Amino acid sequence: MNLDEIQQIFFQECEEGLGTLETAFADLKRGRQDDETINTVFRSVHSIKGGAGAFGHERLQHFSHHYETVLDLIRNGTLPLSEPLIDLIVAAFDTLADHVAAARGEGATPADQAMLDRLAAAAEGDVGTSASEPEPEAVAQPAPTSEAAAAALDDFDALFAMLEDPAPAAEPTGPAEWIVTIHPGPRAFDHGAEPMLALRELSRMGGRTLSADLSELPLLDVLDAERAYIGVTMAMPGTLDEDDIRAVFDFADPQCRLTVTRAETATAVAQPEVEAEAAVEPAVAQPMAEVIPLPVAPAEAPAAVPVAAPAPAPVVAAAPPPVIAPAPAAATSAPAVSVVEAASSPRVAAAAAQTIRVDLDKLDRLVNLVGELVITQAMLAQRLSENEMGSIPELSDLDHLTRELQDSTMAIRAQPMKTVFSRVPRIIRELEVETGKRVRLEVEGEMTEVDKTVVERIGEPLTHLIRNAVDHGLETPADRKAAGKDSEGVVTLSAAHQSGRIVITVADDGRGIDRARVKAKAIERGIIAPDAQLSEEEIDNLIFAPGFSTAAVVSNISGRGVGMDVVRKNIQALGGRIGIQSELGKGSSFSLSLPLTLAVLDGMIVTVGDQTFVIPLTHIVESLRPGIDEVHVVGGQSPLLDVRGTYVPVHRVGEQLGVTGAIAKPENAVLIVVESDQGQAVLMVDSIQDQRQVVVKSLEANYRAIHGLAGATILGDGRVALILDVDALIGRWRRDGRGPSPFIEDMAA
Amino acid sequence: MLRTETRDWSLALTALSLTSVLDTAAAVPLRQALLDLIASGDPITLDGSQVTQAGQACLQVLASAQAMAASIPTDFELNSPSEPLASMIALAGLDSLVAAA
Repeated sequence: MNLDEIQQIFFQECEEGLGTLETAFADLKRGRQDDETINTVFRSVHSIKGGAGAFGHERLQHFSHHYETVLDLIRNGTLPLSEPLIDLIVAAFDTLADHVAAARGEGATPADQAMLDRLAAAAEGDVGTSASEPEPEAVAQPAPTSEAAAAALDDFDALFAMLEDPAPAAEPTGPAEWIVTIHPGPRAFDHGAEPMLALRELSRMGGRTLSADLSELPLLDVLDAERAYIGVTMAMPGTLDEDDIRAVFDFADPQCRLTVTRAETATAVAQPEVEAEAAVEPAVAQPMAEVIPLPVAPAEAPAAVPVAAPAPAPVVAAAPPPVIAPAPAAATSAPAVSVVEAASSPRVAAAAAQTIRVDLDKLDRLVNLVGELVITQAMLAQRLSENEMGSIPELSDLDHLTRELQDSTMAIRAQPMKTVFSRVPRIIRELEVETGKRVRLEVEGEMTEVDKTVVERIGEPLTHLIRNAVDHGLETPADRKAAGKDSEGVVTLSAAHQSGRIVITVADDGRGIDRARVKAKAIERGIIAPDAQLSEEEIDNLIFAPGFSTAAVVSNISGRGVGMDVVRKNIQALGGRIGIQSELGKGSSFSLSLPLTLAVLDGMIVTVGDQTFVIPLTHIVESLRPGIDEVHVVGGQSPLLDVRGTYVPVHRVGEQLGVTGAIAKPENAVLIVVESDQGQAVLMVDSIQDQRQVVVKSLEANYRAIHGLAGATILGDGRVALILDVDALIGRWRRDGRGPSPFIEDMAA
Repeated sequence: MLRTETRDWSLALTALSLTSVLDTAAAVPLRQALLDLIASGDPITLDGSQVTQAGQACLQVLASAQAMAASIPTDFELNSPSEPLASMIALAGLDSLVAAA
């Protein structure tokens, strides 16, 4: 794995971290301000900071450091969590997200000075006002000089020092320091990696170098200049969490040896006998000290450290009381009881073993192979059946196993909708600023899982629906009050599994669709004839018509009349459908019904003439063989089927698609009632062969996209069957007056 | 001590001005230049004032060269380390590189 790949993992973890933060902020806003939530926020930002340092994204690291400083003050109770403070850390989160995007090369580096000033002011307890001047005391501090190891590495380190939390000073007897030893693996320089970046990050966290381990360093004539030999021992503030220290090495080379142990100082008072034991240990470590004099000099520390060391030293330096006796203090660098290390390392390893990251290409290959297996299994079944061996138990076992394997493989690709939903709060915040409306977001079912492809492609249409809900759906606070509603509008986002599909709903409690206005606008735009008789559902669906917009003023947010059309197209491309429920004055709800996966679908295999087609089961309402008196022909047009009193147009699939040899008389054929975006319709086919799951093969990838076809599949006998795109076909047939469509030319091509 | 300012390692005789970027890629030529210097038997003086970036690979080459010079023995000095170089030396715990100067 090269550095770029490791960095990609870092960016993935950034995304997850940002998602976690959004969730945590939602909790905070809901009043769940417990330690765990605040710790979660802190850790997520801290991890991003650590990785940013490791990969040299200094602006991201710089910002996250300041952000983390404020979060740490909240975490340790120095800053009480108030509503303005929550607003500030949420606003800072948006800047952090922009920094992450910039680090990925997906945008410009955000201008963050104003936010940094606000964070700096907040760190001083001033929330809500901009900090125009730095803290005078900090300015007065001279730049670090003598203890360069722990001192400034970059210009902004002085700023870091200034902002470091005052908490350690308030805790003169904090926990003992951490002693961290780092031995990069031999190949630590491979792919341009630089172990010093991790040390620099530790330094920024308040660490100071105690010694180098040169015991493995050969003389120059036999030294391999591209191999790492040196180890380093550092002291870290005892107030840090061990996991936070270890997190700095999350992206280090796998062979890096890391130990994190408590220094002896804390236990020295209580357990003098341990102290005596520990005092022996420096002698073991002495060889490295022979080469490099240890910068640790407890006797001179009280004089030098308070001025020079930015943050780390206070525990030692600002604690003149005899907690640390001069003589045993020499043991500061000695590792504490190794049980700590032994206990913690396996825990980290065990936690890391819970998940692995897999390249998506490998996963897709697996999904494809399973698809081939399903097809082969179907072929085998057919062949055995032809030889009257279709009922052998091994075949049903194979069938069962294949289906299980397929389900398990698909489950690997499943991701929670949370990854999409977590981006919505920011969109809402931005819309609030742009529109002046007040919006409360309620989210349900965010852990509902769906195929990764669906997760990736649902983002854009969902964003548009959210923007539409806020911009068009919700009223202004004044209008809401006038209508007797709460001034804060509610947008509800939910996801749930329903009948083997995922249904995502975006609802608002706004003004609802004004159907009279929609119809008038559609007539004005020439979308419908002035005398058109439309049902409520049909009027609602007009908002998906190309070029339709009811916004009096075209805004940046929505209202150009292209969005909703595109939303529907995108949803249909995912094999989904979109439905609207709306009540004037009470709000609207847009429901997206999507397949859980795009790789397989449940379909009905039908025969039309000499062709076989697959109709996706989700569209099928019922199938029947009609009596003569149930089919009526009105005015020489296509027949209508009487479905319990409702006349539904019958489409002769064979005739429409130019298939030869299809049955012409409805009473001899099978009629399949389907639900489409255009309402119900009937597809007339010759016969039904089977109903089963089919593996979807992309026409785009293997041939080219054909309007009206959702893809193809391979049947048990090895023949290719085309999968009908019911919405597209019915829509086209209706618009074309049920005449032949360009689809036929496509077929002929 | 005599110091000859040059930035080209191949031209270096007994003195060496360290190049500005001491990253991993610079470690191999740095090692060779230092070996040549040590082989000359003359005292070694390095000028670190131009260094703007230093990584562990070059730092350990310098530490190894210092140890080798001491074993001969030959004088080894690293003078005028720039702030970035001094910071990295301190961070790596290699203070003896400059302490001897």
